[in-house]
Amino acid sequence: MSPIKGLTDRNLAFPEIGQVRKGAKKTVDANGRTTAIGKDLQYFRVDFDEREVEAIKKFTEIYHEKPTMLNILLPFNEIDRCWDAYLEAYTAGRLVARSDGERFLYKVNTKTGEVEVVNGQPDLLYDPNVAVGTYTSKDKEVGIYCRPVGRLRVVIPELKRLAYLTVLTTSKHDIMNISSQLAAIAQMTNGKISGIPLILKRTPHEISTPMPDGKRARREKWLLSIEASPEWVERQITSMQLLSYPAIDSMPLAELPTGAIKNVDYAPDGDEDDDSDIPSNFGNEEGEPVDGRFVEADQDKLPLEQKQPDPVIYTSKAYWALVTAKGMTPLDGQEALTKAGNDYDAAAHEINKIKP
Amino acid sequence: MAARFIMTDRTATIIHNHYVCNICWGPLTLEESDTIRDPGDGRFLASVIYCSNPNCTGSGFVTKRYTERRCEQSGAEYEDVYKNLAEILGLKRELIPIEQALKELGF
Repeated sequence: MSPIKGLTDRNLAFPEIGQVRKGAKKTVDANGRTTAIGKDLQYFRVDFDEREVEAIKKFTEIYHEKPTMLNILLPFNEIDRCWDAYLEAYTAGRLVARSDGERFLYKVNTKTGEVEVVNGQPDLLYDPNVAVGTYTSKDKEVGIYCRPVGRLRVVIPELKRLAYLTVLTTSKHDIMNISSQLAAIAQMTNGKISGIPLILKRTPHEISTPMPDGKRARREKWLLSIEASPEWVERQITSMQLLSYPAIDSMPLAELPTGAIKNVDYAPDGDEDDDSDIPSNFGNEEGEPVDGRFVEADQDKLPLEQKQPDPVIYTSKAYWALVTAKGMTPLDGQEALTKAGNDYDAAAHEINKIKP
Repeated sequence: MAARFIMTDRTATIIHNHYVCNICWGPLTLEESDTIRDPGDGRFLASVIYCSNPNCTGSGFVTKRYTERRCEQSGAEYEDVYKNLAEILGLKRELIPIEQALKELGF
């Protein structure tokens, strides 16, 4: 594992602690010039910052030296905050051009060092067949062309840290795969991709590659692939199946308790044939209209068996009547009401419990 | 050890004021260099500038504005990531007593 120096010295709240690469380390000469690029591997080469001793130890214990699959979590729900892919050109370690495939987002004149395009302004179309700059090698001008670069920010759950590693790829097949796989996951989860247990793998595929003579041939390449963890998929399928079933009608409806009707004159045990208490004369009787006026029944004068039963829900008037009936002083009644949060009904029930 | 760059006083002053180390983003040290002197009065005209961190392998500079922007961005990202992943990773924020918090704030 080759270390990276200084990444974690920057005091970033959400730091990058390493990089995940697909190829072996490039070979350089004594002057630092690249003599050969690293060959493609069948596993991940993970480079941690050299100060991340604990993280290196924990990672090696779980994944060993040559991992072919990594458990990952995406840090954000927005795909473009986790994954970006551009066409980029570098020379001597410096970015000289970045494009989205249609326009330049950033471009530097390699001869003068002048920045020609910043944040896509001014508008400059990108042509893949045109060199974005040149460098001199053995007295010859060599053209610099953009190539695809994809960066995926991932959190390794086993490290138990809010810090990320960047998965780097320069394969357009990887970029297409990862873009479509992330879009599919987002579609399944209504855009919530953060926190879903994913597996990043390298899997062999036969793809068409250019030969030195300009022809093409199919070669086996170990491409990147992201998939959701099987346990999560199983639960997701189960949940989707349950949602697809219609609601079951045989479940009994919850019935509300019946309540007494409040403040309505009625005979409690209603015997319609019992008319012994109905006054026999007309006019000037309680409840009967007299000259257009209703005379309201005075409930206290009614016989006991016809008296309206105590209301289930106590109003203010009923509550104070209860206080008087229980022989309590108005002060005691007010105190009980305050304790019940000014709820007459609750206070009345409390009084009934204490003084049945 | 970080790379040391010799440049004119004026350029070195600008670099020192507006740039930081490209590796650790730490402050830079500016020293006079006797490699270039004024032929008239012999005063120093060049300065050496390098990363202040003796363990850093800094090889260049980045602007302070860029690093400040990245730090702010990282702080905001941390809050989002904490909301998304803290429960899954089993992380908890350390809570400190109110008195300690007030003391740290200077009250």
